[in-house]
Amino acid sequence: MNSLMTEKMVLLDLEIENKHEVIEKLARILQSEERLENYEEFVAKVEERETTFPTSLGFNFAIPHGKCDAVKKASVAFARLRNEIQWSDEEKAKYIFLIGVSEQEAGDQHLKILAQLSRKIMRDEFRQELQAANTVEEVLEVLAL
Amino acid sequence: MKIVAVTACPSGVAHTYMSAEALERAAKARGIEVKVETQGQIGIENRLSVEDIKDADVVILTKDIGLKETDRFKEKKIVKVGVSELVKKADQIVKKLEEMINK
Repeated sequence: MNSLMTEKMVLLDLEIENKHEVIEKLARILQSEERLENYEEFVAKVEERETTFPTSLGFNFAIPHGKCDAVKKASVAFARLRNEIQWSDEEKAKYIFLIGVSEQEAGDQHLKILAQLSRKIMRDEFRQELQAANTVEEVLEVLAL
Repeated sequence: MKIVAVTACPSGVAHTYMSAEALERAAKARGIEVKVETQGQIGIENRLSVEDIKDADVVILTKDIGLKETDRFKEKKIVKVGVSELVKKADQIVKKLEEMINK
């Protein structure tokens, strides 16, 4: 099965100023990994979602996502930032998952994996393992995507 | 005490499942029986049975998008919450429901 994530799609201790930069940085990676049909359209979709309903979760995690035809292949890119940034009016984020799903993915195995990932994010043990990971390989192991 | 719930979100990819997980954990931590049906892009999973619904003291429904088959709950006490609220405040919501039911 095609993986949702490769080691190029994990960025550790990234130095960045704001959420737009993170979204663009991670989307660029999806673009260069040939997982998007249209970079601009995807970023616009993700930003639109953030404007109406920010995706921060409250424990320094955020999961910006876009479901649209601009996505070629279901993907997850992950960034762990050096410093937390403001994500919504109330919340900051340091651990960012950028998720891209195409409109046609319905019923696909990838959606089940993303559902599992979403559940894992709510578990303290999983978040602690992600915080403690030292290398990209360790992160990939924890994420098990 | 038993809580049943149905969760769904606009993209059907993430918050549906995060809120289900958060609610399950919060209820179990308080020793409350819980079952959560998810209506995501994958479809309906962990479907609530007639028995589940009959036994439930309260039904939690997320209110961000329309849910399927809500006529199953018409005789029940229903509490509507935002999916994001459930992700972030499941503990408080469960605690409040517990107080409401046990009053």
